[in-house]
Parts: sequence; structure tokens; C-alpha cells
Amino acid sequence: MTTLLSLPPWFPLHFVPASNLVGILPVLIVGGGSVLVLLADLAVPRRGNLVLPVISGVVVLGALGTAVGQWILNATNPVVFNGAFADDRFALFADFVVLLTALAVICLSPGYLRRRGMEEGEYYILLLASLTGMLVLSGATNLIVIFLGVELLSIPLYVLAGFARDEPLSQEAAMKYLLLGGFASGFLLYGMALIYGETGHTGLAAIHQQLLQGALSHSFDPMLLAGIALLSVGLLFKVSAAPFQWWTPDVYQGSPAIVTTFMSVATKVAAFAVFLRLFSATLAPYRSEWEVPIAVVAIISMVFGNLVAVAQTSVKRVLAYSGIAQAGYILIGVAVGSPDGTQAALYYLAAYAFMNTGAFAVLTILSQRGEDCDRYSQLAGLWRRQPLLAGLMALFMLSLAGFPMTVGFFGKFFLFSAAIHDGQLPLAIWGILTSAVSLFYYLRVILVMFTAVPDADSDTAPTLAGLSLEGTAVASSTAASVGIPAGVVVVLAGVGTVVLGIFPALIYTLLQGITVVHG
Amino acid sequence: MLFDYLPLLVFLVMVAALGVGLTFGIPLLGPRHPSTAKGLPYECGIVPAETARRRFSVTFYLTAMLFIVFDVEAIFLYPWAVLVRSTLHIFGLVEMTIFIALLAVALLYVWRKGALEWD
Amino acid sequence: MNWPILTVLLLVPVAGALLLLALPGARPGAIRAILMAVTAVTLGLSCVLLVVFLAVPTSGTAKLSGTANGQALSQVHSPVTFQFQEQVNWLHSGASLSQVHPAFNEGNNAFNQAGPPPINFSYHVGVDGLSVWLIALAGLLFLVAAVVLSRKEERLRSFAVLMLLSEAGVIGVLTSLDLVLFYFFWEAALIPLYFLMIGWGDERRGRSALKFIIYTVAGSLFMLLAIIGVYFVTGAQTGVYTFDVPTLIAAQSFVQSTHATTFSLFGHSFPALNPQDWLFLAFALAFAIKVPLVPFHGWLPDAYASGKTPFLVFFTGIVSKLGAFGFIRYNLTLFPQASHLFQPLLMGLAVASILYGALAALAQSDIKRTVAYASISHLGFVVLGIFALNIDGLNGAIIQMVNHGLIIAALFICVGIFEARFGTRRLRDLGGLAKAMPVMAGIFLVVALAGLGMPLMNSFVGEFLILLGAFQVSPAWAVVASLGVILAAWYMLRLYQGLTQGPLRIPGGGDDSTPAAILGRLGRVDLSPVEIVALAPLVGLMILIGVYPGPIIRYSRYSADQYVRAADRSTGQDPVLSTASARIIRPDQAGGKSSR
Repeated sequence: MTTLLSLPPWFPLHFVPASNLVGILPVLIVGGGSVLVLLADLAVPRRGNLVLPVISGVVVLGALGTAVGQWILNATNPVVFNGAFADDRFALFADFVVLLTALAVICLSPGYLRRRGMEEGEYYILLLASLTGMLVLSGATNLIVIFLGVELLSIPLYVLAGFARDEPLSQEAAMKYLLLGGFASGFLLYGMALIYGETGHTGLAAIHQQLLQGALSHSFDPMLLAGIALLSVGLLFKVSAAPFQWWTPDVYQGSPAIVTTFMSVATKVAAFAVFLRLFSATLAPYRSEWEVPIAVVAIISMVFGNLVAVAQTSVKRVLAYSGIAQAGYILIGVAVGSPDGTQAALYYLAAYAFMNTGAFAVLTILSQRGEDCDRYSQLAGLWRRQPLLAGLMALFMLSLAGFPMTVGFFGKFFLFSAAIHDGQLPLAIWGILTSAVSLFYYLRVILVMFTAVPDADSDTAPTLAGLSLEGTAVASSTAASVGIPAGVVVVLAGVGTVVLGIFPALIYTLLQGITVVHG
Repeated sequence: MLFDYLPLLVFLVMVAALGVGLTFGIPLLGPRHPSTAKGLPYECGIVPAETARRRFSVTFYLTAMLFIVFDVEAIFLYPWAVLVRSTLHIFGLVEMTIFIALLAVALLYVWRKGALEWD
Repeated sequence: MNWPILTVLLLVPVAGALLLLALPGARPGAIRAILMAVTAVTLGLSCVLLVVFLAVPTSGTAKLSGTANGQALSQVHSPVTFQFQEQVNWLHSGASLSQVHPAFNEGNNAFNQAGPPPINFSYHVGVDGLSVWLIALAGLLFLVAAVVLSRKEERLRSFAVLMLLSEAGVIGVLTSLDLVLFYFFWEAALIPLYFLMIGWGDERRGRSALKFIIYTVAGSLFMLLAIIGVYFVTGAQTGVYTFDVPTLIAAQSFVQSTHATTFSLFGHSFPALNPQDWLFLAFALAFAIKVPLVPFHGWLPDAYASGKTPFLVFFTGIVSKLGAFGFIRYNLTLFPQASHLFQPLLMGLAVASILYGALAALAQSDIKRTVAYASISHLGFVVLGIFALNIDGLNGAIIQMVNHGLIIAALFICVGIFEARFGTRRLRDLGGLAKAMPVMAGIFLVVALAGLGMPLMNSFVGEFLILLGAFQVSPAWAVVASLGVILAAWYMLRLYQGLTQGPLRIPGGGDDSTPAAILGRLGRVDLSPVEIVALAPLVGLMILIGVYPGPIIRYSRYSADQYVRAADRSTGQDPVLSTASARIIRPDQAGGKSSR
């Protein structure tokens, strides 16, 4: 037991090694922040002030700072709570991505909620609660903790999906997400139960040892494989990989755009973190069993997501299907299973956070009262109205399509290179074929923004305050200002997309020293 | 090794057989004498006063849910009360205080948000 | 030369674009002046590069480090040398994901493999005798495009910015000496081109642009896989894991011939394709789409028909050359065996392009489409020369790349002027225009004659050498290909005569269709001084190269020789190139007098 401080005997820390609490400090900060925001919401009942977003932002910044500190200190034994949780660099990297996304979402929120008339304090409470679940998930090294993280992540999101209370689509989204999410949790739990039943452990390290022995004796174990399969189904649901993606388009379309932003990026990153930890470390001895199914899921996701996205008329649905396809690309890294596959998947997750947050942030900014920016016609002629916003959206589309000069290119480059090196050429070939297909819908967004003539009614969309390419912010009388934080977020996402697209080493070197432990 | 699971298989087959048998067997074998009284919803033998498809105020559900939440958490106090003097001592007291404080925050929240107001 | 001229060359257009973006209130005249100044500076720099390069064309180095199969790579293994090289580390991975878990190493075979080779790529640029010509051509064509660009063009500033970014992309493609960097520029250059295509042009431009992008990117993505494949395949065979082009070229000397196995189909036995062959095909697909070769040309007629003249000047003039450049720079050097294996295939496609393009050009009623198909036919000659895989053919191809850039740009300027003046692209709506615009007719005649390969015009030199090279390989194909020259005379003269000769005819001629009345209504429609200034350097060079081709043939011959030697390493037995080195031709020797 580490005694860093001399504590009075009644202090709870005395009974829990301090290193444990230090290990989960980001989780504690965000979880505590959630309660703090709840109390603050009671203290400041007046709507529309910035107290809650500021507190939330400070909390997330604090957690981010703590995570950076942990990264720098780089604990030699990052496993805490008797192997139930790890604050290794793998988890910390996922934490960075998730926390940065959350910070971006919090900056975008006040303006969006005001325009949509949804300024409720619960929004920030639920956001932080869900974020807590994501942080738990990224470091979970025990099946129970994984389940805890998944539920903590999901339940607030069910509520957030229905946050636009007077819109039927939003209600439908929340109901669908709740029902199907509960179903997926059932799969997850059943899989865990089977794995526990077969190995007698819930800790990933102990399970790994059992698997090693099983793999060495080459015995076929149907119960364990069924457990792994069901566990995978539960997690594949969360990352919205086909054929477990049926909820994604409806939920992404129906949820308020700001919730979709958070859901599409942060959930995917957290769920992929635990997915990678499970498959690249714990289940590695059974690689020959899961390699092909995961590869098949990856291919189905890429093909289905990209093909169906072409036929969509709603921008949010296009991005939802694009998200399914992107999950397929990241699954290449999982299916490859080798360390460079894991590295490539992590790189792609970081890239995805930049470009997808940026794309959804633009939709968020363009959303007006009573309706999210969702139809192509609402984007029509955006270039004439708001050149900078249109340019940034085009940049995010090009990045999602994988063009060089954007971060998406190196994401795909590393994934394909890992696949080819590992001899999984079919994955890489499917990847490029579907990438070519994806151009149809990504470029259509650009085409609409740059050539089509705007609707008469869409001229009232808010402008990006003071940030117009022509130097003159075209502020029509009805246009509400977006606010500086939202503008900064979109611009920073754009800058990040380009800078990381030109200097991939900025992230790649971070990934060099990464370790994945499982207790 | 698969052989170890044979009892489980037998059990599953029996369960399925029983379910299917009861579902289809009873209508086939049993006599049927339908009457108005038999068609009514069963409510402890008392004749229903009015239709059950009435709308209740949403406040009922809210109060019921809040009750269940706090009720379940209060149950946690019983095992704690048994052990607090013998094993948990002051640590247990501090932990439970934190727990109750969190519950109090929740109650405060519910109160201030007006969930306890009937109208 | 110590200062980084290539980086400067790359950054000047980018800086110009940023300057234009930073001047939101600039008047159209000022924008156009800045654009012309920037492109002129770029042209100046590229001319300096060309002159300095030609002064000492043989002093390039391969700058190699590393060992292949235990043997240190030296310059002798690299037949192709580069000058003005600059290299800065871009991404260096020491080791991959350091340690996942100790359990990975515990008796689990799947994970006992050695870690992946580190991925390194660098910002490595340099030029050789192939790319200097094209860089100079790019500099010239972008300046011409800037001159042609009307100051009344809508959204002029955006057009200028995108044009400068395209120029940077093109120069990047031509100078990069690292496969990742090359792909980076290759794809990044598409972005400004795409925006230029959707923003300016006729009403079908959206479709045309999408078609162009999908075709190109689909091909390029296969090339991306092949680039990664080259890295691992070359690495596995020689121990050299790199994306560095000079090193990879040298390492190919150590790749052993592996066509030992064969399979039989329909009673013939074919060599089974080895990894290099597949990689060759992937690269070839990307370049064949870009050139384009039949049957990958679907995007071209629409794209060329939709575009605005200033855009078409550099798009048709230099961007389409990048495909041919890629064939020479990458396919010949990185896959020497496969180049010989697929020589019949590529030559066949080239001949098909020549004939198809020429026949299709004859069948068009739209003057822009006629020129577009003519371009396919001309580029078929270039590829035919490349895959003759001998010095004459390759030499002709290099010269013809430059020639075609000059001719096609001039043709599109002329055709664009007809379209702008009379509002139609239909050949039968126009006629007898020599009466209305005599200067134009004269210049158009020169350009058309150059286009059909008239002796004493530049195209003749290139096509003659190409046919000479092709004849050495396959007389039959050379004969078939020369049908293309005859057809070229037909469609070019059909275009010229249809437009300028016969009775004067313009759309909406009105009741009084006597020539005098039409001329009176038209007013002054002949070339403006600006248009003459734009066309003059192109026409001048066409005549100059046609009349006095000696120097350019001598200098490009040296490069052609380098690339032929690179492709001749197909035996895989002799990395020291004993046979090839016997016939190194230096420009000073070939020309008879020293250039130093």
C-alpha cells in the first residue's frame, strides 16, 4: 500500500491505495464534475447563461490536464484496483481524443442549444455522465468494468438522443437507441457470462492466461467462442459496424446535431478502445478464430456504409452511413491484429475525431430553430453565403474521403500498410474500392455547397461571426451570430485536419511509445 | 468435451417440448364454454368498475419512479446497519455519509426541479 | 547550386495564392497582375533550373544509402541520376508499437513475428532530364493560362488561387523523389483541379468533374496500394525497406527474376504473375487513366468539353502529361521485368488509343470534343514511344510530351476563342471565318499543321522518333500507328477548313447573309493583342523545335538512355549493368561539341 500522504484514520483514502485513485483521476474529475454541474444547475435556474458550459469546460480541461500529466509521468505499473482498470498510454491516448471531442462539443453547445430552444441544464450533466462512462471504458481491464463503462456511456446518451422533446424524429431516435442499445447490452452481458463461465475469471489478464493455455493445447472450445462472438456483437453495435448498424442512421438523423456530434465520435473512440484492448491483447491467442469474422465485418461495413450513403438525401444520414464505413476502415486495424494494426487504428481514431467533429460541427452551426441542418438544399450555395464555413466543410469531406493534405489520408495509409504487411490484401483492396465509391457522396456535398443556388428561406442561417473569407461578415438582419467558441472549434478542427495531414509525425510519434496492458 | 453439455441439451429439448406442448395442447384438449364474465379482465374477482384504458396523470409515474429509486437505495442501509459497529467502524460511517450525501443531492435536485409538486 | 531551388519553385505559387487570399479587396486587374507576376516568376525559376541542368546534365547523383542483400547500394546500381536533390525527414518510425504485452511473446506463434519494418518517408525532391523539361513546360503553360484568363471572369480571385495551387501540385508531382510524397502531390493536385472544374465551365461541369475525379482517384488508390506494396515487396526481396525513389530504383538491380513458374490457358503457357507484375499493373492503371489510354478515357471528352479555356490550357497541356511522366519515372524504373512482360499490352493499348482517338475526332460535330479526342490520339503516340523501350522511342516520347503540351494548349485557346466569339461549339454552325479574323486563321493554321505532324513542325520530330522506336520492336504496330498520322491530317484539316474556309457562316446569321453584311454586324472579332501574346510563345516554340530540333533531341536522348537502361535490368542477373553502361550517351559526345 502506498502511503503518499499521512491521512487521518477515518479518511476513505486510507483504505484504498492512493495510487488507485490517482489512476482513475480523470474519471473522478469528470464524474465529480457531473455532480457539480447538477448542483450548479439548481443554483442558477435562469436559462441561457454560460455558467454550466463554463463549469463543464473547466472540468473537461482539468481531466485533460490530468491525463497529460499521467502520460508524462508514464507509470511503470499502470494497473490499479487489482487489475480492474489501467491508465496505460493506450487508455490515455483514447482519453485525449474523447476529452478533446467533448471539449469541442461543449464549446459548440451554448449557441446551438439557444438556437434550437433547448437550453436545459440536464444537457451538460448527461454529457459529462456519458463522458465518465467513456473514460471508464478506455481503461477497463475487467469484464465487469467494461460493462459498467458501456452502460454509463449509453444511458445518458439515450436521454440526450431524445433531447429535442417536441420533435417526433428525436423521440423516435431515443426510443430506437434505447431498445436496440438494451438489446446489445444483453448480448454483451451474455458473452461476458459465457467467458466467465468458461474461464472462471472476469479480469482480462487472467482470461488471457486461460486462453493461452487453451490455445497451446489446441482444444476447441465452443462456449468460449460463443462468448467472444456475443461480446463482439455487443461492442460492434456500439461502434456501429455492419451488420449491427441498423440503429445508426435513424438515431444520428433524429438526435439533435450536437448530440450526434458527440455520439458519432466519442462513443466510437471509447468503444474501439476497449475493442482494441480486448482483441489485440486479451484475445490474441485466439486470433486465428476471430481474424476472419472481424475482417468480414470490416468488409461488410465498408461496402454497406459506402454504397447506401450514395442513395441518401439527408446530410446527417450520409454522415451516419459514412460513420458505418469509417468503422469498417478502423476494423481493418483490429482484424490485422498486429501492433502496427493497433497503431494504425488508433491513428485513424484520432483522425476521425478531427474530421467528423468538424463536419458535424458545421451542421450544428447551420442548424436553426425547430430544424437541424439536414437537407442538401440547406447547404446549397453555402459558398456564396459563408465561404469559410463552406471551405471547412469541403475540407472535412475531402479528409473523410482520404485525400492527401488532410489527416484522413495518413489514417488510411497506415491502415492499408498494416493490412498489406500482415498479408490481408483483400481488406486493403476492399478498402480502396469502397473509398472510390465514397467520393460520390462526399463530393456531392461539396458540389451542392459550391455550385447550387441557395433556397430563399435558408438565407437566415447564422453566419460564422467575423470569420468570412471575403473579409465582410455577411450578417443579414435575421442571422444570429454563432459565437466565438463555436467558430474557434470549427476552425481548429480544420487547422488540425490540415496540419496533421501534412505532419503525420505529430500523432505517430505519440503512438510510438504506447503500451497496451490488460491487468 | 462436447459430451459434458449433453444434460444441457436434454434440458433445452425438454423445455422446448413443454412450451410447445402446453401452447398447442390446451386448446386442443380442453373444453371451451365462453361467457361474458369469463371474457372480462380478471381483477381479484371483483367486477371492473370502468375501462382500464384510462389515462393517468404522468405525475403518478414520476412519483412512483422516485419512490422506487430512493426505496431501493434505502435498503442498502440495512446490511450496513448490521455491520457498522462490528467491522466497518468509522470508515463505514464516512462511506455511508458520502452515499447519503449523494442521495441528498439527488433529492435536492428532484425537489428543486419541481418533480415533487403534484401540479 | 546550394540554395533549395526546387522548394522555392514549389512555394512560389503557394505564396502567390496566400497573397491573393490576403488581399480581399483587390480589383480584378490587380489580381490578374499578381497572378501573371507569380506565374512569370515560376517560369523564370524553371528556366533557370533548365539552363543550369542542361549545362551539366551528367553531374547528378543517386545519393544512396543502405544495403541490399548485404551489399551496399552504390551509384552504379542506379541508372537514373537526379540533381538539385533536397531531403528532409518527414516521418520516421523507429520501432512500432513498442511492447503490447509480455504475453505476446509467450509461445504464441502468431505474435512471435519480428516487428514490422519501420515506416520512413521523407521530403525528397530532385529533377532529372525528364522532369526539367516538364517543369519548364508547366511554368510556360501556367503563364499562358494567366494571360488568357480574362479579368472579367467571375470569381476571378478564387480562380487565380486555385490555379496557383494546381501549379504547386503539378510541380510537386514532377519533383518528388519519394513515393509517399509523390502520391501526396498526385492526389492533392486533384483538389484545386476539382474545384476549378465544378466552379467554371458549361452547365454539365458538375457531372464532368465527378467523372474525372472518380476515374482518377479509383486508379490512384490502386497505385497507393502498389506504393505500399513496393515498400514491402522490395524490402522482402532485397532488405531495403524504403519509399525513397532513387534507392528503390537502385534496389531493383538486386531483384531476381522470378518468372520460373508458368500456367497454361487455351493451350498456351503464360508466365505466372509475380508481385512485381501486379504492382506494375496497379501503377499502370493509375497512369493509364491519367493519360488517358483507351479504354480508360471515359472522363476525358466531358472534362475537356466542359472546361474554361484558361483551365484547359494547363489541364490539357501539363496535367495529362503527368500520366506519361509516371509511366517513365515509375513503371520503367521500378518494374523493369514487368515493363518488358507487359510491353505488348501497353503498346497495344497505345495503338488502340491512337486509332480510336483519331476516328472519334473525325466523328465529332463539336469542335472542343474534336480536339479532346485528338489529344487522346496524340498521347497514344507518347505511350507507344515509352513502351518501345528503346532510346529512339523514349526520346521521341519525351519530346512529344513537350510538343503535345504546346500544341494542345494552343488548340484549346483557339477553339475557346471561337466558342467565346460566336457562342457555339458546333462545327457546322461556323465557317469561312478567315474573312472575319485573318490573323486568327493564320495562327490556327500553324497550330493545326503542328497538330497533324507536318514536317518542319515540332510534332513531326517526336512522332518520327516514336515510330522509329516502335518499328524496331514491332514493324506491324508501327505501320498501324502511322495510320494515326494520316487520320490526324484528316481531322485537323477538317477542323481548320470547316472553321476558316468556305462561305462565311455564323450562328444566327440573320436575314441578310451576304458576307459583307455579316462582317459589318460582327465588327472586330479578330485576335486581341492579349490573345496574340498568349499564343505567340506557343507557336514560336512549335516552329523553333520543328526547324531546329537538334539540341532538344540531344539533351533528352541522355535521359532516354538512362531510363532505357533502367528498364533493361530485366535479366536480374547483372546488377552492375555491364552491357548497358557500354552505351552511355552523353550530350556532349552525342552532339559533337562540348556544352561545357
